[in-house]
Formats: sequence, C-alpha cells, structure tokens
Amino acid sequence: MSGIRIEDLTVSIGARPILQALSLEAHEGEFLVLLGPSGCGKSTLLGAVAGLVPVTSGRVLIGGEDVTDKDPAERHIGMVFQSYALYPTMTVERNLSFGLRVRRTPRAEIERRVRAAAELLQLTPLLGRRPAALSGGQRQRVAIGRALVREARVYLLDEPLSNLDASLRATLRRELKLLHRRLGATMIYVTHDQVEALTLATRIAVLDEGVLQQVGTPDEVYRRPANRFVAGFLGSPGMNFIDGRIARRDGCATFTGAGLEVPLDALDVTTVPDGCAVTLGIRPEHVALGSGPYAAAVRLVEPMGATRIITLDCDGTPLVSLEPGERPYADGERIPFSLDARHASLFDVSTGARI
Amino acid sequence: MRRASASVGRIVLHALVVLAALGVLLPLYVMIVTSLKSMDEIRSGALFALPQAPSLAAWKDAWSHACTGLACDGLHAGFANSLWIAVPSTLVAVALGALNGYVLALWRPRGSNLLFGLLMIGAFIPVQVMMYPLVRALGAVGLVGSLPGIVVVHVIFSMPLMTLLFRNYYAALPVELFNAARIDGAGFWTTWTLVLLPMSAPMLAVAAIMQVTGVWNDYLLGLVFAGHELAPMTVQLNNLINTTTGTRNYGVDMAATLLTSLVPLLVYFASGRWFVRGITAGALRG
Repeated sequence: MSGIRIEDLTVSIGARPILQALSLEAHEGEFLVLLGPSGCGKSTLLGAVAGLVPVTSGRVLIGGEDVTDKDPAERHIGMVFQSYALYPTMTVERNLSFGLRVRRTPRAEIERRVRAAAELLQLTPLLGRRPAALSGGQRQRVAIGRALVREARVYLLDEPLSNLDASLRATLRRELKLLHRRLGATMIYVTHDQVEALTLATRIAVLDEGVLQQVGTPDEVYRRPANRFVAGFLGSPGMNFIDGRIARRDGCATFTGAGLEVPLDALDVTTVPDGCAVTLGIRPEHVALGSGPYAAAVRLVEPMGATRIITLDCDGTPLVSLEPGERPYADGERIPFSLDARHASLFDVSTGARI
Repeated sequence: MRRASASVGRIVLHALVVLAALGVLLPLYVMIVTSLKSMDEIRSGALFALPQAPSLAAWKDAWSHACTGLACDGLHAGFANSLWIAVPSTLVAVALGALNGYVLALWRPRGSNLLFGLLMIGAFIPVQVMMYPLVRALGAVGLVGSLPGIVVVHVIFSMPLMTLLFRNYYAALPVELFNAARIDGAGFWTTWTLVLLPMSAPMLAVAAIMQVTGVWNDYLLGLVFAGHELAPMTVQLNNLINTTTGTRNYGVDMAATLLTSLVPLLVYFASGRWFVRGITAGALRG
C-alpha cells in the first residue's frame, strides 16, 4: 500500500488561503499530474505532501499512514525539484548518496544503489563530476537519481522539466514515462504544461485558485471538461466558446448564437430549459472547413507545418479551426464549415459548470 | 563628439583616482621614510626626503625596546596579545554568525524576524552607550581583564554584522536546496555542516577578514576589557606614543604604527580577491 490520500487539506499563509478543503487521492502505482496555471496552489499541495509546507487543517496519508505531522525525512518519499537543487559542492556520486549517508546506510548498500541508479539514468561516466560541469539534462537526471536511490514507493516531482529546452524536454518526458512504468511507483507530478500532463498522466487533477476543478484521465479531462476553466486551460489552440441560447422545437434542442444554429441531438440536454443562456464549447479540431451548413469569413491563417490554425469571424465571434488542409485561403474569403456537435460541451453562463 | 567627451570623462576619472591614491600614499610614504631615518635627519625637517642612511634601528626599537608606559620592552607583547584575542574572537564570531544566519534565513522559528530586527537596531547603537552596563555585567561574573572576557565582548559586538552577512547569503540561496536536504533526511546540524557550510566559503572568508581587521584595529574595547596584562597592540601603541619620558623618537613612533597596522594590511593583500568575490557572491551566483 503506497497510495497518497489528501483529506480536506487547507493551507493558509497568514490569512490568505492557498488551498481550500482539498481532497485528492493518488492510487498505488499511479502517475497523477497536478495541472494548473502558476499560483494555483499545485506546488503548495506537493509541498504539503512532502512535509515542506505546514498544513493548516486536514490530513495527508501516505501508504495508509497519517503523516500530516511528520518530518519530510520520515515520509519515505523521493522528490525532484524544479531547480534540481543539487548540492553544488558535492560530486554526482556524493549527491546521489547523500541521503543514504545521512541515514547511515551500510556502505555496500549505498554502493549498490548508486550504481543501479547511475546505470539506469546513464550517469555512470559522470559520477566524479560536480553539478556545475553538467548540462541541464544531465543535472535533471542526477536530480531524479537522487530521488531514486531512496527506493521510495512514492515520488514527488515539482515541474522537473520546465528548465530544459524544448527538444530535451520531450526526450526526458519519454524517459520519465518509461521509468514510471519500470518502477511501478506512485508519482505525483506538478506542471503547468498541458502537453506534459496529457502525455504522462494516468490521471490529471486540474487546480485553479487553490480549488480542485476536475480529476480524471487525460481523455476525460480533455473531452469532457468539468467546467469552462478546465476546457479553456487544456488544448492548444484553446477551445472555442460561443455564447448563445438553447431553443427547443418538437423535442429537439438547438443551440443558437453568433449567427449559428447547432442541433444538439448528440448531447444530453433534457434538463436545460428552453431559452436558457449557455456557452457552447467546441475544440478547433472539431470545426471542419470546406463544406457544411455554416459559412464565415477567414480572418487569419497560421501555418504550423503539419496543420494550420485558421481563425474565422462568425458575426463578430472568433472561431478557430485546426485543419491539415493545404488549400490557400484569401483574407476575408467566406468559406463553408461544419461543427461536430457530438464533441461539443455546454457550460452554464453564470457558473461555468458543465451542463 | 561622443568619443571626445568620453575621453574627457576618462581623463577626469583617472585624475580623481590618482588624487585619491596620493591622499593615501603620501602619508604612508612619509611614515615609511621617517621610520628609516635617524633622529638628527628627522629634525632637519625634510619631510619628503629619502633617508640618507636607511636603518631599521627604529623598527627594532619599536618591536623590543620602546617604553609602553612602565615597561620598556616594545610592542611585541602587544602583538602576541592581539593575536590571542583576534583568533578566538574571529573563530567564535564567524561560527556563531553563520549559525544565526542559517537559522534566521532558513528555519525561521517564530519571532525570528523580530529577533533579526532587534539585532539590526543593536548595530546602530554606539558601542560606547553599552560600555558601562557591559563592564558591570562582566565584572559581576569576574570576566573583566581576562581573555574570555575580551573575546566575549568582541563576539557580542560582532553579532549584528556577522549575522546580517550570513543571513543574506543563505536567504539568496534557492530554498529548494534546503528542502532537498530535509527530504534526504539531513537534520538541523547535518544540513548546516554538510550542505551549507561547504557552500559558504566566500562568505566565511569575508566575515573572517572583517572580523580579524575589526578586532585587530579595536582600541576602546581592548583598553576597557582586556586589562593590563592582555592589552592589545593598539593600546600599547597608544601608550608608546604618549610616553613622555625621554626624547620623543618620531622614527620609532612611525615604525610602531606601521607594525601595528601590518596584520590588517597583510590580510587585505592576501585575500582581497576573496573579499570581492564574497561580497558579490549573491549577485553573480548561477
């Protein structure tokens, strides 16, 4: 048993609440990603699990044991920090072994674990170097190695890839995913990068302003966002939001707004009253250009290599489409398009909650 | 035009630097040449003239024969006293300052900001104000006129500066480093001795230089708290120059003064590089 349970956790700094009565669970072996904009409290949450941030109320359980009042050292966790936080005066080998030496692990055991971690992370030739003589990617691997030698069942990672350049980030992201599969340990990973969240997570917890917005698999969070915040935070380019109303005719619900009439047969909207103001959310990949019942003028074309981002103007409301086509568009040209309403989401105008 | 005005600026700048250097070096030159002259030559009044027959007699006199009050065996006893006082005062003050800085910057116990504020206020109160109560307090525990007494006094008065230096140095480090050590299981002392102190070399050097020179150059505290037996070099120098028996030998006065300021000078020459590096360490790290 080495899952992590967070129960009713509140963290306040002074009178300012950072996290409010938050409950969340990372099951054993899970890769749980905490995703949110900067300042949403995700790093504070990780710090509270690690024991680095004092908890105002609530409980943290690791492997079923209440560790709320325990020292970070007693929680049997490995942690990787955003700035790597390597000890600058120590060689890679001593960085890796520091936690074991402090705990008076037998010398042979230290040797074995350091060798194993170095082998796994391809650090063996670097063991004699100081952190200053390492590249960013190498430093990051040492930071991961330092957590690994603890042979903890729970690992906490605080934006570990954010200080690396884009190509290295993608490489290390894949390595991390393979590493997680190989270790089978519980991991909590904090990031503001949705690509990292979607590619790595078994489940994503989206946070905003200290409040949990949604917890679910990457697919659930992306396809069925619980509210407008989650819908807008995930996806690039972001989801289109169109304000309008629900109209019922002969038992069929239709969304009208921005000059569009979208039949909603595919969505369950029986609870929504006629004339109710809603926001329709539709992802750019579900706006198909070239044919369909609607038409709008092209405002902007942004080629991205494999795809293009095309911004249309629907009665003043911008509508973004992501499409792989090659047909040239003239500025202001009116083109037909269709919306795949099966993938649309409806949100309450006032609360932003999914309908 | 820009080039011309820039070079005018450089000329003015260099002229100012040369003037400042002269302001420091001329008196030093006079002291050195005077210390190498005989009394007859000094009396002739040619202040800037080079010595006609350079001799180290005045230096020998100052070191081992000149009268400092009743005794007439030169400054060498004061030199030893100053060393005895400066070494422990520096070691204890730097160690305690680093420990204070570590606690105030990283552990931040309840009330640590208040404590730091009070310490800083302490730095702005003139030493003289605290002299009398401190004499009474040390007298009550029998420490006046002893080595532990004068060391304790130096350590007390160094605390604001030493603490400030290390607190700011540690506060500029990424807090994640401290957190990593805590996760790794290092406790209060282990984190300090194994992680932070090895990183503090530049600041340890700065603090030690400031403390050595501060203690060495101190006159008042040494006069009041060290007592007669342990009178530091500065106190003996004052006695030597104020001794009114016999003829006044200006050469000996100059030599004695130079001897007394030798240690801080050597410390600066030997470690100036470290000093600059330590002072700018916070800004240039990374």
